[in-house]
Amino acid sequence: MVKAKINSQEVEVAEGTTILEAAEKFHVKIPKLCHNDDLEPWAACGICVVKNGKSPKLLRACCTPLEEGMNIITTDAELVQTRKTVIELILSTHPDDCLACPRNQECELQRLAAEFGIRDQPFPKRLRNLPVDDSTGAIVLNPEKCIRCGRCVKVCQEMQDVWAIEFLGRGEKTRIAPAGDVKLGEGPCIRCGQCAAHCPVGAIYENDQTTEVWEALMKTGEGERTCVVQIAPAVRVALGEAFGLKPGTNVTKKIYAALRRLGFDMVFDTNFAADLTIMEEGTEFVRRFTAAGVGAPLPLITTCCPAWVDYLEKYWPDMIPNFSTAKSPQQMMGAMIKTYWAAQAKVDPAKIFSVAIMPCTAKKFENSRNETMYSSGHKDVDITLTTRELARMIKQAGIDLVNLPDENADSPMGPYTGAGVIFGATGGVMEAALRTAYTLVTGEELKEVAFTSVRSMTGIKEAQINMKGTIIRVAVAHQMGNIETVLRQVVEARAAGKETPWHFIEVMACRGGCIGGGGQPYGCTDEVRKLRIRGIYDEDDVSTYRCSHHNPYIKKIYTEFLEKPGSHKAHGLLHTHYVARPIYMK
Amino acid sequence: MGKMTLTQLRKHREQKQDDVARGKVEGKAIQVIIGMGTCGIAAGARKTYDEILRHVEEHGLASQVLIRQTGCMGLCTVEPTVEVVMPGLPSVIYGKMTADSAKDLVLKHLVGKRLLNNHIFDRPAVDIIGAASHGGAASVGATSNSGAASVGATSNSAAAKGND
Amino acid sequence: MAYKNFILVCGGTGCESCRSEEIYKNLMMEAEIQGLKEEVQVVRTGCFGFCEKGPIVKVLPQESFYVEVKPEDAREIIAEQVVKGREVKRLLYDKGDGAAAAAAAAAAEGKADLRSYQKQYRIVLRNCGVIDPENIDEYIAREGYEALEKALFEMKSADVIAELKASGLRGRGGAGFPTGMKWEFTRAAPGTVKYVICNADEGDPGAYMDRATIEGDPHSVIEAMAICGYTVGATKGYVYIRAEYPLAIERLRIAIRQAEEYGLLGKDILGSGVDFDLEIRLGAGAFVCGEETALMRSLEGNRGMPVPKPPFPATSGLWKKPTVINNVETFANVPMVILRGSKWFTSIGTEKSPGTKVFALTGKINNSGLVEVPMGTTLREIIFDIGGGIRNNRKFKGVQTGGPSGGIIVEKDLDAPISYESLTALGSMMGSGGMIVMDEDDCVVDVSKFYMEFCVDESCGKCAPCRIGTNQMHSILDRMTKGSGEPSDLAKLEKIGQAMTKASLCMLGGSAANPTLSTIRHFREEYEEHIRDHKCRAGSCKTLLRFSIIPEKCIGCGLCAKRCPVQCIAGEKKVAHVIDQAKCIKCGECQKSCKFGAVVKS
Repeated sequence: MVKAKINSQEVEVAEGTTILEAAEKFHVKIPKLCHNDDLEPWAACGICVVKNGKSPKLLRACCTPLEEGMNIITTDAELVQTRKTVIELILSTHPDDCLACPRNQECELQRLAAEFGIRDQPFPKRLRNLPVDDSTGAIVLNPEKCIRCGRCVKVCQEMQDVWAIEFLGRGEKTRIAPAGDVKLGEGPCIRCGQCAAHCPVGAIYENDQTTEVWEALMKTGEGERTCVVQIAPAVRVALGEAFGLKPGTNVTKKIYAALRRLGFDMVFDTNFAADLTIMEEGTEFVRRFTAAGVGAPLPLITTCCPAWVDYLEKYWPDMIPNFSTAKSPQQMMGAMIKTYWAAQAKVDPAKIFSVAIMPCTAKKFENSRNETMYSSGHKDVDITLTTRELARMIKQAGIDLVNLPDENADSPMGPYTGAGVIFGATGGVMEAALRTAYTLVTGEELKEVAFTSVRSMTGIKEAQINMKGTIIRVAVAHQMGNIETVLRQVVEARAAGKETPWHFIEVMACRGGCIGGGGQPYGCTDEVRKLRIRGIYDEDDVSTYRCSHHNPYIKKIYTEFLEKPGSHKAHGLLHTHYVARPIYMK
Repeated sequence: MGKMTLTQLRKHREQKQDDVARGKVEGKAIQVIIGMGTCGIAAGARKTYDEILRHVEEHGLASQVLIRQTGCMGLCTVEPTVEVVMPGLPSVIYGKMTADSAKDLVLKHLVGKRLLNNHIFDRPAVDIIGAASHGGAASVGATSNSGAASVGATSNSAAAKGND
Repeated sequence: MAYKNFILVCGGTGCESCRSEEIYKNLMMEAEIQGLKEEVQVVRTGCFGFCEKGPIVKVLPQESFYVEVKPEDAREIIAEQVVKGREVKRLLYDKGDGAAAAAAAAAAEGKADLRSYQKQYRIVLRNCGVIDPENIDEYIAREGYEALEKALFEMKSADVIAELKASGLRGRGGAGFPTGMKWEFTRAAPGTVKYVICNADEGDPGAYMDRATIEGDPHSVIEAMAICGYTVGATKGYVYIRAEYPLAIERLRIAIRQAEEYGLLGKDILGSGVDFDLEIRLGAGAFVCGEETALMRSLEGNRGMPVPKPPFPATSGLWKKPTVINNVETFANVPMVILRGSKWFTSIGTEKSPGTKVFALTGKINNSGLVEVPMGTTLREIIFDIGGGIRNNRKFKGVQTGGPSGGIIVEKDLDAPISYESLTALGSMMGSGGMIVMDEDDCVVDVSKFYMEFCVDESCGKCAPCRIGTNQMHSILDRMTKGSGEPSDLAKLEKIGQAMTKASLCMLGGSAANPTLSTIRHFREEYEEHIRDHKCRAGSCKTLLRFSIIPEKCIGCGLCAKRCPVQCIAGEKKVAHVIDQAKCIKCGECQKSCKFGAVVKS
């Protein structure tokens, strides 16, 4: 432990704690800009400077460990002046178009400028007119607005291990750019959107498609369009944050209400499709597992995460046979809406406009990934909006989300089980699959459905499940940078002719799973992630049905339409395939 | 030579120091040492080197004169620099020895045993190697005209030999 | 025919102004009168670098060093020294009394003998200009690799560290951190894989100490790094050197190969069981890669950007392993410290800054070059003695130490003895050793702009205060030199400068404002003149210059009009000419061409 003083207050913290961490622990605010709790300090902005006693040298609170006997002063006239000048300097390289900026009122630089009472800009603007890169269709790069805090580069390289974004140029010409200076969409980018979620300003953001959705909604009244919407598991525990609610607050029923007020004709829930996914993927797993002796590829790897799918196709194409062919819930729902529901409701699928609300930017890419995303004969999901875009639409509509009455989703694809809702958290897909696989393997029902060993924020989780004597070894990895370790062990075991270390692997590209997705409300930290995860499991705990195969509407859809999991029809609508892709298109 | 042991290295060092003390390096009594740092080369030291070599050969001195290179001695304004060590004359450093001065150097200094006007520059510091503080070993300090005592000694004895 | 004596008469500018030419002539005359033309050669030489005691006369082979010689002393020198072989004692710098005794006493105590008239004392450059850098035998003959022998066979690693700590050797890269402590931290750091790095990424404009050291004596660095490897327990070393130094790289390559052949690098050095390998890595010439954390990132193959310290390299450096990183000059000191001992080393220099410092002396100085002086030497001695004073007898204005990171030191501070602390106290810094002398024709605003431009180009772009601050300061300085400075500009420069100094991550940004801030401190009125009067008193900001013709003096010869490259001078023959200010490019050709002093610059 280290004893020191911060603004004359005695503090004691563990060795290695930074001055910033120590100060925050004792409720002392130190202004900061480039720092982000998810990342190792990069120390780019120079705003968090503090003093140590009378030493003339200022220390950067973000990266300097608090040492025994230090006498830290976090604010005085000199520090305020220094910080203010640095902010003025940063503003001199930043465009003044806050009013039309995607980050207006959610911008960390704007907030800092307001806090420091910036009233004039003493230094002339030095802008560079850098072009916008929207080549991915999912996220947009506007380097002109970049303040070179380095978060996106560190997220992409260190957290995600994708290396799609890099610093190019030196000095004032430094810019964030796609690695290799190609278009972002032509390089390694997997569109996970973590860069956008971590960007403090409007330099990287989701491709905003709200206008297209509004246009479609305009036509509903005239009967030209039937607008159908689905919401993903992770959206419900995060959207409230954009309306001042605590992270993890479950606003599912208020979202349904809001979506109806926005003009959607039918409100379905992706959780239902998650249950469907479990039926298909669980069956696929059991089939491969029981046939293991005859060479079916194990481990089976989950494919609900489109960023992960993209990563695997680019970096681990040899593992494609191990991928589950089951589509993600978004795409299963899309296919069901334009086939099963369209027939039932006697609506021309060509006139259905299908919108998905997702915590994810990569889902915008997924909905046109390959021809199987058009399995209904039309584009199964027309537009994917992120949680942030939905919040924007609700605000545009002047809807007071918090005070809306609770409403329910529409049948038949609204009701869902606890297994469906936990899809939004790391380990959730695995747990949901195990709940159903147990029954498929043993023919019996589980007494205790919670597999807590695959929960938690640990980057790689392992568990052995005893299904009445049959041992199933599983691994769960989240945050792209953690995946390589897992796959390497699989590849090494295979090369050595050994048995696979795991039978079933769940992968989610974002830290904490979809609840930490790149399209979720800003300000996501581990604390926020834990609260969102809690929100999800709380709902699971009180659900009437907690296993996907118990969902009566799932039973119904198989009886009425899909025949049985893994049937020919199910394969045509609910399964996809993968191809090796080059990391760089050129 | 190959890898050496401690004893071999020490013996090797003694041998090299002996050579220097006897005033002969590679069997030659006269040394013309040209400053070939980047600064010297930029000022034309390579040409000076070639010219001195040519004149030395023309005057049939090749068997007595060893022309070799060294690094920058710090007299950058007066590059190229050339140090001449020969019996009968004090060792001196000449500055501003462009290729044009090579002939003068060979004719006047090496052959005529006169020092050149307007070219001599003082070695900037005493040589700490082989100085009194280190057991007074007769080291290369002698060749390099620095520590007052050692230079006097060498040039005197050299002069004595040269006058024979 | 062989002369018995040679009388060298200093022909340096300083001595010449003190009648050295007369001394030379008198000596020639006396030699002739006294019939000694065949006995003695009188030679005119270059500057001796001891101008304060000039004129200087030196007699060889006796090495008699005469100071403050007057023309009338010629007769006595010839009569006494050449004829009778006796020194003229009253003219001797060291009157001869006990010089040898003093040297012996110093030697007996293990201290350095610093009694020479020469202001320079060469430890780092001991072999530069002496040995053939491409011949390891010449290095070996000059005590080369003796320190390594001593360390390997007579000292424990703790002894080496104790000796270094006692010597007080401090990092010569500029920051002055005690080398012994650096090594000790690395030795104590847990881990079996450790590294030794030599920072040869010299980047200051006008600095070339490291280049010259490696070009002239590569083995001194190699030997020191091997000693360091043994001491801290590292078996691998890297020399990070900028690719723009091809000759230094080549010589270092040759030296490493020779050392490997002799078994002085590689496995089981000299049978000691100690292994140490050395590799050269080339830097692409980014100034910021001289910053140690950026250098290591670059060595690892990453973008050369500084990262926060701590952790310090001693515990987590290259590839996160404990690493010693010292610059070339620091390493070159080490063999002598080990061999001569800390007592010897501390007898040179000052108490807190023992030893010497190498400077690259450039600018408006007569004897520009590489100098190595004991710490504690004054700037005046370096500039006016060793450097031989200001070129063309112009007036000294200031000296920039520490390159683009340092500040200007003015006349009144020239007598401060040089040390890390004193230069910092004067608002500059030791830096790596660039020393640029400026005279009255140098404009401080222009000089500040030059350094700021350098920092603009070399800022890595990571940290906001430096990346943006340097550019904003540069644009302000630029408009000042062009006559469009604004009244608030000085305050803005100071405001940005202070923020950069305080809030930058590394020393590049932290010191980038120094040249500007220090010149504002000393020459505020010049800045104000640029802003208020659009005037550059040094006459170096061309936009602010105005050439005009005084009609009374102009005879209308037309020469200036002929010389003018833009034809902006007009006038009838024999009638006063006029310069069209709108077209004038301020090249100054007209002024140079006018034989009547009719063209004036204002």
